[in-house]
Amino acid sequence: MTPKLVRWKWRWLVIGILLIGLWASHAFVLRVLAGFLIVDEPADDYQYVCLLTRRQEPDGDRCYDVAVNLHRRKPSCGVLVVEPRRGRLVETGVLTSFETLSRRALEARGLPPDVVSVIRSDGRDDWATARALKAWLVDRPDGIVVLLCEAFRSAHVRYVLDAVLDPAQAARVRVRALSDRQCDETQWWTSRRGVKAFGENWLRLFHVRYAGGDHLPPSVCGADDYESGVRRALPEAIP
Amino acid sequence: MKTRRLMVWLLLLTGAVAIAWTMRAPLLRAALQWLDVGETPRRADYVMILTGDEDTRPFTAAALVKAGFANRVLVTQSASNPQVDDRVALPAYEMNRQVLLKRGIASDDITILPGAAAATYDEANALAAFLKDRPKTRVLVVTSDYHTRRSRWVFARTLGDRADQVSFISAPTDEFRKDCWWQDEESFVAVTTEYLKLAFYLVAYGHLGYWLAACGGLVLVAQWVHRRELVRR
Repeated sequence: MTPKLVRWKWRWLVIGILLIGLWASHAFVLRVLAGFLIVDEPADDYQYVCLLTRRQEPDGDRCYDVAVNLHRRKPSCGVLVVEPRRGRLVETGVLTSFETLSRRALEARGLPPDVVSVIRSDGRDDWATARALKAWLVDRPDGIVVLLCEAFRSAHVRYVLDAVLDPAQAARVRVRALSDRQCDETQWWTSRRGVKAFGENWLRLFHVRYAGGDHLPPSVCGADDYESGVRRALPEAIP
Repeated sequence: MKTRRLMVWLLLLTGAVAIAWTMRAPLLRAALQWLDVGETPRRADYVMILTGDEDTRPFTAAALVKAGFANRVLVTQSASNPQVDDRVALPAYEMNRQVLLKRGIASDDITILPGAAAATYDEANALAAFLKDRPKTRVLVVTSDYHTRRSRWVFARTLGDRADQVSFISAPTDEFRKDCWWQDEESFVAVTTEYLKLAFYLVAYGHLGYWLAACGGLVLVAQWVHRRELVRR
């Protein structure tokens, strides 16, 4: 066997061993990659629990159960609901506002209604939430806020909060990552929902770190304007 | 000789990267436009709404029906998720149905296609089953503008000869800044995931995987033959 062939034999052997090693440890590697998306900051002392939404659905699996449990642990704490800018689905009455949905869900779980207060934001993304929280925190110089969100979104939320809030305010907001019962950091790659959540949140984190920044959302028209805009663009209905 | 060849390749690569960087805005805008293959609608029997973007697609479908392009609407039943099971969110098909009702479409004109669609591929299968005994039925499929290319590809593969019964209509996405989509987080994620899903579909459901393997094999064989020639010389 020529020296060159011997060299290539060893190279292929090393590559083979590396591939087998990667396959054997793929669960560990994938868990580590998911770990970069998660920020979990438990807080023993807190005065508020904050609930977010993503597209009118509550963010984070069982967030209402967790909020009520945190309130039971500390009955003096308040529950904040960040109400996003209303979209067409709320405007047409298909969906209730996040505030109404949250009040209903929390009351059904035994939370007194006077414990819930609402912060209104001017958008539907984490930047809008952070701006709304900043204004709210200015009027309340004390108190720790525990912000509940989906696990894979938590690193993004933390990054945005640190970018928008000043350091003292940012230190008062603790992000709690809520694992999804269908897909969490230990087995996300086994389900379509997990792969989608992992991929989208990695893209968000990448964008916010390297290309993003605070921005005002584009203005969105109401249901009537949207539909009439589509109709204006349509030709005559011909067979 | 080898160093000179390497320098030439490096120079060409640097030049290509510099040109791409200078032209990045028009190239990125073109990348978004390439995804939109929406057609001009013509009269049909049904309008079908693909699951997702419920704040645009059902409103576009309602506009099409009211403008006389179709009389009836098809909506696919979607797969459940924990939020729906906990009753803190509506299923996607129910959101679409409610929007259509609120926008004045009669309940009898809305048909829910059975199944638990979790992806565009499942919805294409649901429509294929619906059209099985309806060879002359025409359908306008409404989906977001950036989703039309992948949808058209999936439906064409699933429907086969029946693909010409279906046309794709773009529902305008007004939460995007189309001229600078890469600067906005939501549009960046939507467009990038659309390209990733397109690549996945081409590999998983198309022949792209075989083509890539064949090209890779050809390259390896060509390299091996080239090296043998060099050794012989």
